[in-house]
Amino acid sequence: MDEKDLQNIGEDFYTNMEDLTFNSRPIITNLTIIAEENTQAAPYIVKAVEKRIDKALHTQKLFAFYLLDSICKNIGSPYTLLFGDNLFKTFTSAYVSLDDPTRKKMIDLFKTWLTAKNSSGLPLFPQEPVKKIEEFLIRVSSIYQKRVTPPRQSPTPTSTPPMNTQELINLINSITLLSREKLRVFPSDTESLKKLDVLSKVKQVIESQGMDYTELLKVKTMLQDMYKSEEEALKKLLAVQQQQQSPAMNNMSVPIPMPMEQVSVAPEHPLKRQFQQFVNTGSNPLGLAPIGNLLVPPKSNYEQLFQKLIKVKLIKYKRQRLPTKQFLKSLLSTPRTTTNTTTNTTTNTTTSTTSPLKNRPLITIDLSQFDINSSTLLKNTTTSYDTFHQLMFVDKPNKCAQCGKRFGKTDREMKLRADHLDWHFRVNSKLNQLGNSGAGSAGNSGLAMSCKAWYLDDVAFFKFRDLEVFYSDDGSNITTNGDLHDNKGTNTTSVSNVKHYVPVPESSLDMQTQCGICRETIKGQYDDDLGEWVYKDATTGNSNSGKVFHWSCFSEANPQVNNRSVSAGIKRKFEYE
Amino acid sequence: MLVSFPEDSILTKHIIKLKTDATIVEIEAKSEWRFEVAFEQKLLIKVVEGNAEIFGTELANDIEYKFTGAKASIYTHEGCKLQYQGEVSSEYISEETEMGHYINLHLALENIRNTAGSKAPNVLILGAKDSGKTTLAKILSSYALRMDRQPMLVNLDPSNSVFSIPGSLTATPISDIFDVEEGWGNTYTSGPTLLHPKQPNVRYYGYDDINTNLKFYKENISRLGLTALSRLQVDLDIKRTGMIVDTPPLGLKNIDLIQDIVSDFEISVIVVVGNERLFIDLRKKFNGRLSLVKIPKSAGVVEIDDAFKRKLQQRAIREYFHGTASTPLSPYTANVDYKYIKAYKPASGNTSVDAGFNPSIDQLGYDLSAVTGDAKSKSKLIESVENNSANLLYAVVAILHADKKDDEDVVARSSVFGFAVISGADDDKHFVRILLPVPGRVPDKAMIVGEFRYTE
Ligand SMILES: [Zn+2]
Ligand SMILES: [Zn+2]
Repeated sequence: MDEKDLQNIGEDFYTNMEDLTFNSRPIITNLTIIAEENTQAAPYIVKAVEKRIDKALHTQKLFAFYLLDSICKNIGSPYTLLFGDNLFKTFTSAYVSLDDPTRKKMIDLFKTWLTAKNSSGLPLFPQEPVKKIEEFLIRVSSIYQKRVTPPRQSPTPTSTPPMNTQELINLINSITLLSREKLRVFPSDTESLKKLDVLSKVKQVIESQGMDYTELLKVKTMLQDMYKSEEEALKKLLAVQQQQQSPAMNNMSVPIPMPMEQVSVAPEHPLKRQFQQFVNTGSNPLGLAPIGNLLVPPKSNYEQLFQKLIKVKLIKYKRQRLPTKQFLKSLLSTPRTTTNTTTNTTTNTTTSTTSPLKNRPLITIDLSQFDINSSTLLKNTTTSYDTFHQLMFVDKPNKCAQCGKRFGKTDREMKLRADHLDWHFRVNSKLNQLGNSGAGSAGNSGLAMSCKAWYLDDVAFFKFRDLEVFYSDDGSNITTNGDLHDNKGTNTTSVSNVKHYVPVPESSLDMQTQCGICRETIKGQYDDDLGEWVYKDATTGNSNSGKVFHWSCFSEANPQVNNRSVSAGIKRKFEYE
Repeated sequence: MLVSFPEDSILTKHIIKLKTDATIVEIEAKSEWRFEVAFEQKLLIKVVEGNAEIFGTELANDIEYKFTGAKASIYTHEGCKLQYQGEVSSEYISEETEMGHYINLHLALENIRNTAGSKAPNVLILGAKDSGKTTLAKILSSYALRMDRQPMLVNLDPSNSVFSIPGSLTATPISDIFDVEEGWGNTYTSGPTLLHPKQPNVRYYGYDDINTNLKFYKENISRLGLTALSRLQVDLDIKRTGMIVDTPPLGLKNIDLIQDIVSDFEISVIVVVGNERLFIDLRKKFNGRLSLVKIPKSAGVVEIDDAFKRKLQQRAIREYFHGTASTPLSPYTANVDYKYIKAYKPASGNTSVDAGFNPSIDQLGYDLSAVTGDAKSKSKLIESVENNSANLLYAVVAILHADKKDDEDVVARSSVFGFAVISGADDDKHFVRILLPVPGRVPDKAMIVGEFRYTE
């Protein structure tokens, strides 16, 4: 067998993989056998799988990973080593393009790689890429926690859990996620809002300074309490939600024939999907220790947390830029009346004597100090700069390299960010496609496209929802009036159905003209729809020179035009000829 | 105020390429770099270090932004380094910035938005000419957007071109960042764009100055208010954020108009920029009924002289039809008989008697009956225009959603479907040549002709 044959095996393999459009055990088994029988073509097969992962639709990438997994676990070397070379890139570049439920499955898959061993008892993959993937997941996903800590019966300080700040950060991320979800269902839930603010502060403190073991442990206990109560709250919410939804929509879990544990298909509703993650899976995605049965009211939770934090360490805090110190000061010094009418369960704590925190919920970036009155507005306070900095930069660390828009760190925002990048990509390729012949100019400055549309009328405007269009599969493609506009009498000007014609000028005596390219005669015809005489299937190339071209001749001469409308760039080109 | 792109491109590019010297500007935290670029100039700016923003919109790093015909400033919260290349009419760094006040204001609004049980603020910005109202409106909208909100930006200054052409009044949900080069950005009426397009509701008043036909102006703002509020009621993203309303220069003498706007848009916060007397007067007027705050006029606001403003307006019209250098569009020209054109203009004799028209200020306004009932009893809002070259040649016309057979009343209340320019009119042959944004037949719709003219 020469190199060429091996290459062909790889290509055949790729073709076969195209059937892997759903999660099919037979296909995966089959392909695994083929891979086993052709280990000499392993480099090509590996390339084929990687290519498949890269090229497959987002909805189908996961199945290609299952194939990769199956090959590696069943055959092992040399596939494990070969896949290992690009494993980080293969995994992460696919991961970012996936939706949340699929990401969850990717994480589940990845977790099996941490423990799987090859026939000689060594780890399945080379350690380096696996470690990098793990670091990546820790960074981007709050539902992934490092080396799943085994659940403990009680968080006794005597046990020696692997304590590190990252763990706490993850915990905070998870609580943040829970609170955000709660907030999404009940936007008026200001408690969650406040909590979110507190959490982000706490996180900063943890990130920015070294705490010793016992301190961390205290904080951790607090956070775990908080997580627990948030989770309870969410479960209740979900229960309410489920009652409201049709029963058929629930329990939509489909067993999937996979080497992994069973995964459930998440339902469509994005909210529910999030809830499902936490509740329906039954498992505790964070691997958190179950804490006692006490359902501590959340407020006292963060109050305690804060008092502990303050007591423990905060005073040591020194970096200027970060708002925490300032923020805490303001927290402590402004016993402002609050809008809070619920009862504050305050606390038996042995700490804190004169703390004015007692009678107010622990807020955070205390926005309430920003009154809408002239004297407040005219003050130039560091507090407002710091608050601003926190909200605009710290809370949103991920800046889009293309447009500067920022995204936060939650799963939801990471998803939005992925969608956003996708969108840039689609638009850029569309613009490039339209303008790719612009001589020498980067991309799109040479040629024009035209699919201008009309403005919406009042009723359509009333019904329009910007974000729905945004996150539709092809928001970039919307030329408004089409599907969004049900108003009669509105021209639907999608690009494809533009008619090409030129009205016969009044000055024309014989109602005919010559094609400026092939020199054939073009005869005027009366168009019933338009109610006027026109040269059908013709264009002026948008020049004002009076020249008329067959549309076909014109677009042949300008292949990039396709069936799109004429461009200013072409116009220029023609005038110069 | 910030728009861009000259006729084009290839020639200008070469000039720029010759001048390769790039200048680095270092801006300290909480300062801004102000620059002016004339229409015949072109400036390229890149953030090379740190974070910077233009009127609230953060710039991407290491990406070149092009400016032409612009007066703007770049603010940095924590300090940054910029690189620029090309020509500027003026540029300097200033530590004297109003950004601190703007930030306070934003946080205060955010506080209201976060307060349970309270309605999101609808903010009205008032002030004299060149006091920085539009800049403030833009910054507040950007900041709200950056906090994942969706404000509705309303422009009531017909001399501005916000997501439309001059002479229009618009309400636009801001669902994505502004285009800092363009000033505002694209709408759904253009093709694929580099940023998410916006979807405005557009009404056409047709004049630069609100006093030219105050009655028609008022009719349009109350209609716009009706549409904007209706959308706000049902669109939760907007409802939770509220509106930001920018205005033409209004003063003490416009107090009735201000009251109209307050009720038309259910204003809950008024921000007066640099006009102490107006502030005091409004405090008496609205005593306790809404939040009233003042902010000093920004030292950085440059005077936009008339010539500059006209150029901005002409450019806005050109870009409506032809797009920009980065997203060019090709308009469409049609020849039609006069009989296909049905044009109106705002009725004359409506000039600047502020007292004449007073649509139900205090009865929680904008219900349909109030306005239509009023329409019957009062004189006409619009009148027919005879089709001839004197009236139509080079006129910018607003094509309305109303059918050309519709009643005058309906036409007067209709919002804008699109714009066209009558680029030729032959009285002998009874033909007009009309420039349309969208290929196809001339829509069977009524049109409004104002004072704006345009030639290619
Ligand atoms: Zn972006
Ligand atoms: Zn031909």
